[in-house]
Amino acid sequence: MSDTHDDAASVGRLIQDTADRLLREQCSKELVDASEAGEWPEALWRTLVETGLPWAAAPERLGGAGLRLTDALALLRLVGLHAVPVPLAETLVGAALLGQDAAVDTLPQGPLAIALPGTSDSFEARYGSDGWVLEGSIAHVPFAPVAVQLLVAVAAEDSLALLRVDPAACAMDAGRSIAGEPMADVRFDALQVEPAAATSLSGWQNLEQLVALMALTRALMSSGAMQSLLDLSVGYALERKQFGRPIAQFQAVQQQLAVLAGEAAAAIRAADGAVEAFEVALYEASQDPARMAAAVREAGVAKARSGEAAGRGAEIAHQVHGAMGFTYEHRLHHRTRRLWAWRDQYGSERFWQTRLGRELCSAGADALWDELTRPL
Amino acid sequence: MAQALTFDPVRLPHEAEALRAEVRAFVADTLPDDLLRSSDFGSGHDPEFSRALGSRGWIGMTWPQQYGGGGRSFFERYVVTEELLAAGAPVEAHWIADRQSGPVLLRYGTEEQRAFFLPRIVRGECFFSIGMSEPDSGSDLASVRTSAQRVQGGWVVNGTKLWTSGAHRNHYMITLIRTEPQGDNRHAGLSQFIIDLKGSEGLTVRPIANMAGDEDFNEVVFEDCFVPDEHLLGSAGNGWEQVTSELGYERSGPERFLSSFRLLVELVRAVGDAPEPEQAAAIGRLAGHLVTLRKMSISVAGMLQSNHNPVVEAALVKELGNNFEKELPEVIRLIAPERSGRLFRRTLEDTLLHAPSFSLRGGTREILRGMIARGLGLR
Repeated sequence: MSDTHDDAASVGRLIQDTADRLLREQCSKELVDASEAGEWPEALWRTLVETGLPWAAAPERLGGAGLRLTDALALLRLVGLHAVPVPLAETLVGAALLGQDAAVDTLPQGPLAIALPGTSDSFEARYGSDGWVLEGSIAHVPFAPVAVQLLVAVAAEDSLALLRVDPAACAMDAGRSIAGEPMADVRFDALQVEPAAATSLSGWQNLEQLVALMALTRALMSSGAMQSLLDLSVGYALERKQFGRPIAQFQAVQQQLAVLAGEAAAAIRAADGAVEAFEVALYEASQDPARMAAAVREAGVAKARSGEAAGRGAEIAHQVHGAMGFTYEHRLHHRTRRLWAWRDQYGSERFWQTRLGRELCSAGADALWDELTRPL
Repeated sequence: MAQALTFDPVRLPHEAEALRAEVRAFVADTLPDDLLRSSDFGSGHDPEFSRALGSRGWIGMTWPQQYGGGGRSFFERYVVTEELLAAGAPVEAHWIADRQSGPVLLRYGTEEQRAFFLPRIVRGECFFSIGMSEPDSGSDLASVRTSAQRVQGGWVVNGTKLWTSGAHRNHYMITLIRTEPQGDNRHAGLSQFIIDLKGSEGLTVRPIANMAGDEDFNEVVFEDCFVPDEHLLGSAGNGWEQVTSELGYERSGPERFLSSFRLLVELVRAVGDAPEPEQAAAIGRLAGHLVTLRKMSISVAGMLQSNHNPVVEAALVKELGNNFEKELPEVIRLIAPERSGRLFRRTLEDTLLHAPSFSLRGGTREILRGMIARGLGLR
């Protein structure tokens, strides 16, 4: 690691601390409620824009802070910690990826959405002399209804391109996730995308790698939400009195909160591990397919582990909070509902577990330990 | 943010990774083909194997060179221990001496004690047990009643230690004994002694068969057993502090989540390269848990390397790790192919028969969760 990168990392921590304070103040219960009721939190977004957070990983020539994407990803933990109701992950990642393209001279000035076609989508992207033609639909695209631009990932031979698409040019069947956040099934009707609106992603070979990166954003956001569940539940247990004493004094409650702490710690550590793996793949050994494959695997582990932690953690947090945590008035559900939404985005636990299991079986029993311990 | 969650991302340094291939080659050359591999650190007492490890410098790796230690990092020790466990090597004989007794001797022992014991441990010639539990003192360790009376030149010990692993085979035992009557502060008046298990008069060691049919743990009875002053460890009355200082070492290592690992290996073998979706998902899930636990454990190794004593973090690793190693056979038995072969069945049965002990030894699940709760500020 170079000194310059250490400097950048400490800039990253500074931004992180500032962002933490800012988001804690801004993301009040009322603000998150209002955004769930359909109101776009313009004031919050404008504050984020002023601090430059959405473009933290975009190059300086485009007005970004020029952080490594992997340093900026740590900011996403705050999205879970404070239930931030805007597409920070999508905009941060989207702007960083677009910024790789020297031909891009301005970034879209607003929230982005990223559409990754899945195997169950009937979607087709054809490349011809006039650029790309998109046909079919991509389901459940987070934040598509509020994005100023849609980034559609399309795979070409051994490479990957991001197409910048005007949301108005697509048909959207808009809805909300279980967390009340906007999403849409996006339909393309022979939509023409000119070559100038396509960014070829160097260092990325296939769509699955991008799915893994987005899965990692969800793992990071979930690990922040897990931290929040723990903080809220410990606080509540110390405050709430029954039988003449705080319920924190009951062993049954203590034991459950210890389990929650373990799940939170595992979610956090797994997500950090995947960030490290992407750091190696993207910055220390870029263009090495083996490193990228390791990063995809680590992201899958983080996504699956945080998804499992989410289920157990939400269960315990709600049990500790009692009926109070089941009210709309309490802010716990802004976290638990996000955890339930995120665990199903970009591959559920089952998806990533099956993928890893197949890989390990094809490597075989005698290679298992080596597979699990190979350094990044 | 809650204090309990400090698991800094730590990567094993190159010099540690460089050891990995060496350990793998050694194990491949040394272990007989017909050995039933077990990743349980308490399974497989083989003094010859321990001596071979000692001659390679793989015992006492982090200790100062003046006592024969390797002067190496906790990360290097981490790699050696996890490689041995994953391979199912017989590490039981030297395990406690290497992990726990040596570090305690280093920290609290006299110069004479260090100079005598540590080089012998390092060579794989001197094995230790831990004498903590008693018939009426399990989780409530401070209630121990084994007592020592001061006499000319030493102490006379009376009482009984129970569940003492390896006491029938090992050379010494570091034990917690009451040296003053219990007063208001129940943590006061306790002391640690080094007991010579081979040459003490008035000491009876009786093995107790466990449910797996092994003779591993013991009852150790003291009847007017004389222990010389030179075998007091640390200061008289300081035993509680000394005992609790061991916990970071004791609870965070790979032996707290790898105990069932060989069963996962045998499952992958039995399933072959075309798993059913359910089998692939279960294998991927268990592997993901293992990968995550390993990262957490390496984070704690990093804290030990920086001279921290991460008691709560270590408890979290053990709590999650024990749950994992106990869940593993329960998951695997239901997804294994029906005709999985003798080796698979034997490994499954061996794992199931030892699993109840995983969340008992080294601090029960309930005690660990209580410690985590304390770390969270709940008590």
